[in-house]
Amino acid sequence: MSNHDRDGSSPSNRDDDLARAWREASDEQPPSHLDAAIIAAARKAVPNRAEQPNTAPVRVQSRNWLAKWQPLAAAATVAGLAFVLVQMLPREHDLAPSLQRKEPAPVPAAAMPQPPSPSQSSAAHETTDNRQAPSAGGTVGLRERVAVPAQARSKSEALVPPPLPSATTAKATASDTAATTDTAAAPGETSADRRQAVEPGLAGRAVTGSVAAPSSPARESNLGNAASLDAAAWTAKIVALHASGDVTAAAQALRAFRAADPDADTYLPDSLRDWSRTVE
Amino acid sequence: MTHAIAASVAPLDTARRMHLRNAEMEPRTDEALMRAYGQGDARAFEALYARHKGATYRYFLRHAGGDTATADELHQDLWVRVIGARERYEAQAKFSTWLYTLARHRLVDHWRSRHGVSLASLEDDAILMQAEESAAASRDVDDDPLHASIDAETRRRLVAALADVPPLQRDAFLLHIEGGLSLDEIASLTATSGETVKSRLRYAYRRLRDTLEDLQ
Repeated sequence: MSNHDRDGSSPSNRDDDLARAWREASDEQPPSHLDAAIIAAARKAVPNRAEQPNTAPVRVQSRNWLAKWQPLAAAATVAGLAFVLVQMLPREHDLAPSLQRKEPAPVPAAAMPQPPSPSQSSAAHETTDNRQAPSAGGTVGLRERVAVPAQARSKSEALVPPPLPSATTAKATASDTAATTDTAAAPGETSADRRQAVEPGLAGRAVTGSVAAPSSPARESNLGNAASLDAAAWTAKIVALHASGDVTAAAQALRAFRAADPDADTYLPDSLRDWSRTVE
Repeated sequence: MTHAIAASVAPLDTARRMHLRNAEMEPRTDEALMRAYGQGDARAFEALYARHKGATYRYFLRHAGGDTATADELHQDLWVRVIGARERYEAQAKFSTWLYTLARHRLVDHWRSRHGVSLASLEDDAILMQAEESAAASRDVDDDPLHASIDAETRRRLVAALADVPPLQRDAFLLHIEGGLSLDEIASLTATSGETVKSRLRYAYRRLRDTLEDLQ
């Protein structure tokens, strides 16, 4: 009878010795090829990340970092490019001073009856540039010359006074200089005369030399150039022609004015409204 | 008697020492290793396999009467099942209890396919004789050159004595001595009472002692 029988619960010392002897005698192990096959099956059954536990998380983390910051980096790049482009574009205040400088103070209804000749215009332009150069500097002057729109430049050129004869220069005031541009005026003509020539109210009392009795070719030339005149110049021209008694030329000028501007009649002074209605 | 047996088989302890050294290098429990493997840690499985591969192999080898081919097949099937069950494993009991439950099921399947009987029905003497004859036909335990230097006679007698033990008693003995399971764990695993397990163990020990009496 063994100790199992005696205590009924645990193996006896003799059974312990037998168990130890068994464990020491029984040591068979599975063959190595079987171990290798089972280990291979175990590895194959799980994802590859188990074989490289240190590198896989880093790769995943790096991919997560890219996915997280890529949109922000793209947005920052776009914003930076936009800022650089905006900085490279010419700003409004770079152009505004030149325009303001060239535009005269409020021009009265007066305007020149004829545009300046090309040579005079060029001279006037150079004068304008020469006047601006000292204040703005050579670079700024060049930039303004390039950047100013053609319409603004022609307007400023038209408003720049031509060189006056020495006899009348002393009499000319700043306002006269800004308001009168009648380059076709006679050398002896004063600024007061020119003012009378362009103001409808004074048209009947004063007659400028250039418009008083234009020759026929000159009149054609004036009419040919009429298209480029503005409303004030048209009005002044018509008033002058009408006042000089050349009603035919005044009517032609009015028609040309109407062709250029359908509302031409509205620019005429009241004294010529009745007459304009008779012109077809 | 037992001291003489222990002295004669002492050199065979090398594999067990390696197993213990492996267990010392991996401080995690069996359950933690299995959970880690279920989460994709293949190295955890390697540690787990190193701990239990010898015991499970010998469990099948003794039940197969020393037939290494059958033991290889059963051993591989068992661990393939462990691999397949890695995600379903829940540490509600000791890993070794769960492992030997799988092993026993695989063994029952083997007996059923070979002899058309289940392990539980082997209490019947006729069926027992049939199974014993089948196992005895493939007994050959001393072909390993590693064992040449030990007391071959003692070893042969021990293995042969266990082979003569009826399967259920042998099963209880192997679960206890190879699997390291307690009586309660064996009772739970085999769906029997503790007293039945105790009785089977007592019977197995007595048969072994009787077989080795003349070594005293």
